[in-house]
Amino acid sequence: MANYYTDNKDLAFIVERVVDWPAILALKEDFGSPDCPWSGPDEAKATFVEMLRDPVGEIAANRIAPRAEEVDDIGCRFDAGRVIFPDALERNLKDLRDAQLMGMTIPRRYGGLQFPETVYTAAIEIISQADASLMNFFGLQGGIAETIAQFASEELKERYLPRMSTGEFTGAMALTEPDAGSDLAAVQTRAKDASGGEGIAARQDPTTGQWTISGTKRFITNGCGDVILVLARSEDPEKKGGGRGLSFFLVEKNPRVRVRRIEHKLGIHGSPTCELYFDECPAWLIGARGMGLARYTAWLMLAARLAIGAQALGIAQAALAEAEAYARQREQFGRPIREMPQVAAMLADMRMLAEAARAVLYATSEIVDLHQGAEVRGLKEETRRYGRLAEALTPIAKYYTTEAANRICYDSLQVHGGNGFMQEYPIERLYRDVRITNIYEGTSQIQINWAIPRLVRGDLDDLMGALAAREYADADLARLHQEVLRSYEVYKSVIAWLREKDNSFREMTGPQVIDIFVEIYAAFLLLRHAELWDHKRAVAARFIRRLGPRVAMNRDLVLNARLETLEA
Amino acid sequence: MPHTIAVIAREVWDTRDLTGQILDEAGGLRPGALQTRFDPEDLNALELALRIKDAHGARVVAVGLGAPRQVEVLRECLYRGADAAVTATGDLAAADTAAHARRLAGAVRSLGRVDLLLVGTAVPDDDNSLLARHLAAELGWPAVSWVDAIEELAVDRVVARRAVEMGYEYVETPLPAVLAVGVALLEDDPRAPRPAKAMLKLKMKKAEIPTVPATDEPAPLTLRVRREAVPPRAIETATVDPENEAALRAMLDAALKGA
Repeated sequence: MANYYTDNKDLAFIVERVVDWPAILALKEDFGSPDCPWSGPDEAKATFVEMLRDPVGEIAANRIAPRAEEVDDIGCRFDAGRVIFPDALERNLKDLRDAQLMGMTIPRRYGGLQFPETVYTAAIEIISQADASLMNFFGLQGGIAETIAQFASEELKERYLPRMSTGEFTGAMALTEPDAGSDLAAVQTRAKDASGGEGIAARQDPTTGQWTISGTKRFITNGCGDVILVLARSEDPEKKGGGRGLSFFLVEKNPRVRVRRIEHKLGIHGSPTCELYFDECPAWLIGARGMGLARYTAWLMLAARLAIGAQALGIAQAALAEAEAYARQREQFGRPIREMPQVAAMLADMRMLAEAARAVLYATSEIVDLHQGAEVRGLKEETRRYGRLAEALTPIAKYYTTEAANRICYDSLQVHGGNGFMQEYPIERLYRDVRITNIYEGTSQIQINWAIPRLVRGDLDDLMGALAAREYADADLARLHQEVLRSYEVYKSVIAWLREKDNSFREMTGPQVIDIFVEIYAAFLLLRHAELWDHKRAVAARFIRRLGPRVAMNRDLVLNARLETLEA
Repeated sequence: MPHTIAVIAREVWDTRDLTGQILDEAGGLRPGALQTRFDPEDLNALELALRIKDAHGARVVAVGLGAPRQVEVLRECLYRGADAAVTATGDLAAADTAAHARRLAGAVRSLGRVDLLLVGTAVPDDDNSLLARHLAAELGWPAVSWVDAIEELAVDRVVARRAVEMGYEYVETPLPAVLAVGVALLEDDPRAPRPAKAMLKLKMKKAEIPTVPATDEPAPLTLRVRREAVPPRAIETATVDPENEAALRAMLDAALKGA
């Protein structure tokens, strides 16, 4: 039987040989305490690997993947105020609940597994390979539950986390409004009227202390879920405007929050995207007032971005497998099309790109784990250091994996030729599903705007410096490393030049600058991997052969950039 | 009182996707060349037992035989929701199906009251699909073969469904009984047996599996089995030019002469 963990040799390699589990676990576990189920990091790692194999890899390949077409065909429906899931989706959710996977990162004392983010990232990739839309239940759960676990009162944790661990409750996060998409600080001041006002506002009853919120939220993934985290304006805009006036609230599904409609979408049909209307709906404040955007949404977004990166990679893995299988069996001109030089090159590039993106995603995930671990331990210096790295790397990883996944799906469809355009082949669905990944949880452009000032400030200089300083005993790898170092010098000169430029110029050239950075970073990582697995030598060599020309091209584009619209 | 269901769980050679040389020059199995796995049909039997447990409540006990090779099938049963597992020991190297059945029947008897014994129909190892029959003979219980589903389960009887040509057959038998589970169990969605449960896996990974030692009177072997390897056949290959008629004729002549 197929297994989406063991069949994905690159993922298994990363999980079993690359990720530094002892470092993560030293911060996240207390070996020897009665609460810790493992005697040491080796046993914990063995458990993670075993869990990814069965149930995660098993359930994904043999139960969820066969239903993906049905979920996509039927999709979610909206009828008389209720969101109705296709049967196949209900069976998927039951399988995830039965396999006890819904609380993967929730603390053990609330019934979860308390696994590191990196295990969760791998699980999300595996589930998304089977059905990308299911990830929006499975992968959203973690970020929402972790936000509650991290910032909510003990009472709220006790009330919601155990039921999120069992999967009885699923979660949603309600941030977007009709006029506040990428710009969340524009979340409305107050509901205009009770019938259909836009925006959302929170009010506290002066005697009981109970909060209520009113207004409209839009594009809410799984908005019909049971636990909704809502970003709402709680402060007087005259005194505290913009993002400083926003707080974070928890709303449990109740008659005062209604789904008004669900969207008809290009892809991920198994994930309902809801418009929510809150009508003086009771809500519970999470954490401190006025910190909704700066602290809690930012924290939730770090987790969510990793999850979307993993979702994209899962879709890319599926598209790659479809292309490789198709090119093996499809014969034209008397031979399988994989033997045609252009097709062979596309297949090699798709694999190379998938492995480069995976290297970046899991390296980022590891740093997010280290950051979380340091924060829980109260290690101030490490928290600050890993936090800086995580905040810079997460948007870059999200950007790179989702753009790579789009590219891979595009090429996979191309390898399928006319057949790929038809609904008979899964690539048609994958191509539609992947398109949202570089849009939601922040578009690629937002990720770039988030990352650029951090690169210019030098937040990743130490990390890159350490990778650049590595020495390779192997002559081939040492030569490739020298090639990467030449590109690294170019990167440093571009950043130095950018320091003299204003913000709008930096944002305009951001895509090229981030590409220069992330490709060099991926090359460094692939070289490290090549020391551990021979297969990676060829991948690294192919990647690095084109690194120099690509970096030179992007540098020239940056140097010649000009802000203009060319409208006639 | 809920039923007790025993399920046989065997670990078998994994013969899918074989690559490379698995046999040595003498025709024996190269050590380490083959992996093992949970016998897929016993996994179906386990799935049926767990479905009965889900629907009616039951106690499910997995029964294994011999020392594990690579896959800890009995622990895998616990991860999926079996309530207990035991393993039967003994010198099994030269034993045949009848001897295996005797040891397994001893282990089943040691469990006390058992209402149903489920077993996969055919396994890739030493396969003669007769284990269920031998078990029934050892225990003195009725047996039903090729069971696809349980239609009805009462305190003292079971109605099992099996697919036959042009339809289904419903077989009623008193309990206790042995059911050999066929392959059609998973025709409807879900098409695969349930996976492990994550929390159970955390909890059970160090679970002790009690062993049931061979009874004082060793079971006599009903058959003696001697194995003889057939050496691999050497095949000579030759390539001829398809345009060269004389060469083709010569090749055909040689082939026919050889025959």
